[in-house]
Amino acid sequence: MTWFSGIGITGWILVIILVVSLTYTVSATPGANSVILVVKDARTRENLSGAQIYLDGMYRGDTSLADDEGMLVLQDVSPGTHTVRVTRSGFKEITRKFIYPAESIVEVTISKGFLVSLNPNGPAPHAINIIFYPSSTSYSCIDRAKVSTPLYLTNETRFREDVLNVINHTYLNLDQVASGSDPLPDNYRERFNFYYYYDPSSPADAFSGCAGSIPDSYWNDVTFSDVTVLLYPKYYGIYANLSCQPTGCYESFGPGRNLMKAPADQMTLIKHETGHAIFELIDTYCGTTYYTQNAPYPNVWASLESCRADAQSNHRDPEQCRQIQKKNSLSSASCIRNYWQWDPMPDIMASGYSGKFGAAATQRINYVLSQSGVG
Amino acid sequence: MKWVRICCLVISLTVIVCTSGAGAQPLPDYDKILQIHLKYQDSGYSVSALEVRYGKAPTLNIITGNLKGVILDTEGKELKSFSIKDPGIAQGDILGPPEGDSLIGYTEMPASGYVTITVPYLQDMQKFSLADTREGSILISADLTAPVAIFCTDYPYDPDCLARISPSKSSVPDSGLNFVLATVFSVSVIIAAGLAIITIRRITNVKMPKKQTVLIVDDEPDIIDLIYIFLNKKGYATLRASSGRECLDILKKQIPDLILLDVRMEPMDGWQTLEQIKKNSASMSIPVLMLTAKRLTAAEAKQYHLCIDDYIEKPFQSAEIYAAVDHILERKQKLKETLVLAKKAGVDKETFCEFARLTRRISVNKRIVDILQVPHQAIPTLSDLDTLDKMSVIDYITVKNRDHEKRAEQLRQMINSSFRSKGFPDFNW
Repeated sequence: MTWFSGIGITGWILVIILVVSLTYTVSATPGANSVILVVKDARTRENLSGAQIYLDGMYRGDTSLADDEGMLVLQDVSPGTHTVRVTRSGFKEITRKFIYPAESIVEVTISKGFLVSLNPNGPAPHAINIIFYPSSTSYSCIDRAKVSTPLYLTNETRFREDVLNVINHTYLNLDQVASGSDPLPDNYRERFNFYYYYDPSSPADAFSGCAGSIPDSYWNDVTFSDVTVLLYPKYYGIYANLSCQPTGCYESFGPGRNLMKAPADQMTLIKHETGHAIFELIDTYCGTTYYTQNAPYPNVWASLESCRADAQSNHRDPEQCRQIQKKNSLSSASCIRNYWQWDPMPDIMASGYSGKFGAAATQRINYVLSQSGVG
Repeated sequence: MKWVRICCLVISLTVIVCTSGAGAQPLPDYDKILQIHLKYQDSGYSVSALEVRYGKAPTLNIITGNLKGVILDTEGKELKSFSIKDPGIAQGDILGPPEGDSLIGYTEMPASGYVTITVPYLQDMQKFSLADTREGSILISADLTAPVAIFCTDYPYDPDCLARISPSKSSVPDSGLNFVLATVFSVSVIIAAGLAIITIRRITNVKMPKKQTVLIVDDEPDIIDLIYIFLNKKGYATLRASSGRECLDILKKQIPDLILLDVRMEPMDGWQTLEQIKKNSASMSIPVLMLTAKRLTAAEAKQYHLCIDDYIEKPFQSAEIYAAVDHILERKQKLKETLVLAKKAGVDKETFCEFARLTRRISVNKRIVDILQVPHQAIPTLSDLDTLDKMSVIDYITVKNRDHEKRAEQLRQMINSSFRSKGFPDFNW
């Protein structure tokens, strides 16, 4: 009573307008110049309800939920060419042009999407998007050559199992390999969105170029990938010394097109490549690789002074700074680079078999994770 | 104070309604991206293409690098800046011998290649520039007017395209009052949408899409297998029967969407089976496609033209099966959809069903006439009697069809009149 007594005449006018407009909105009947839009599933040919319909960019409603009609009557369509856009969860978005009044019933067929979300509660906003893509090739230690393999292309379940295994032993296990001096946030696992993309008709080749190659159709379809992991099955035969050892690689083709390849059976190597691909960590082994002083929060420095200064300001022992080098058995340096490192061995950024991310690398991992939550 | 109370009242109503309806229904998605496709060669960059499209952008905040991208607005103010890595640097790692416990590296740095920069669409974006932070040099500068204009030509009513229209061009006599009315109207729309969602949810059960089912009846298992492969590939479910009797038994338990029926079977042939199918009220409305190596005769055409929907001769190609099955089932689906609209438009059910029966009959009759008119190459000397029979049957069916067409046109006009009164478009099949 107190609520309504204070409204006054102006208030009542507004409430009446509200009710009138509400009534109008609910009971609006179709007007002239209408088009019937029918959305169908490409595979089953059944009409699809719950598809969102946009006409010339404006949301017009969903295809009917009642009786599986799968239709929407679009009102007030002017004569001429129009663009209809159809989206539905789990399906590929599609746009189609039509001319009114030549077409008064417009049928749009949509297909199941190839992208599968692996987060139980769906993707989180602003999280790091990691998408796995199956490779149709691996490597044979018997033939010493790249080989085609149907393993993933004919068995989605197997690919999914391998992907889940990798996720559980690497991305969701980061706290076990991070430095205790700068712990990861408790909710770090929620900073990742995991997906896999499964389109056997568009195979990818992990052994074409350093990081492999993925068809353009994927890049056109998935525009939000922070890292795409081209996962290949274990090598055929037995790993043998240098002549047949698994490889990983990371290459950037621009934001949204970062590609990393890795073998499904080598968890430490996957963590190492993830160090490059997501956390932009630099290799700390001595070899023919790419060195630079990454910033902010480097794990590799361009001078001993900057390494020591950083260590001091971050309460680490400056004396642990050392040049990246490798000595041979005669104790003379067989490899030496003009870059310095701080993290102790075994360091994941140096080894593909074991180790942890040191305090410097972990600091940078924490920085990247903190950036992922920013909208 | 009273305004505060009104606002509270409206907000409370909105919250109540929206909370009740919140859940699976996704909100309209207008997310857009700008994609800048660049070619680099010997440290120089050139623009290959610029495109605005619907989509989601990657997480730019997590990237650091030596290149800096900037999006500017129409007045040259910075809307967004972000870092980008030098493109094309490939960092490869090979597992070394386990005893060495160290990786072996290799790096590839091609002098030329392509890079695509995907960023979220920003209102008022006008210009993009890419700079090298090490040298302070501008690598590329691109005008974004054209890609945005192209996008807005296709999607003029996208909220971001509407917002680009200059406010001075729209007539706003009283912005204060308009604002209040617009606010009230918007809130009403939200409430109405919420109520609609609740109503729809109450009356709806989510159903899994059902595959359309085709019953294949043939006494040759190879033919059944072949058709099964064809139809399975196109997503149809299939039932199999190796005789007329088995077909009728299946129909007692299950009603398919279409029957593919072989003519030459024993002891009950396809025509006899067809008669039984059409006698039974439960199965009489199932479309039947006759399938046989035997030529359709004039007598069969005259006797059975009312009962069949199409006729395919063996040997057949997969395309012929697809075309015939698709045509019949799409027609059936279209009928189902138009029936829903007809109900809404208040069209009498008998009127609509009569129209549907007639249009189907007209279509099938035309097909049968086509089949009869094709010269039979397998039998070089047709008797004069056969030819005469054929001609008379063709005439008979053609005359019948003319009557059907006249009546169908009358009914079409009646139905369209009801459609127009409800604002539905005319249907023209």
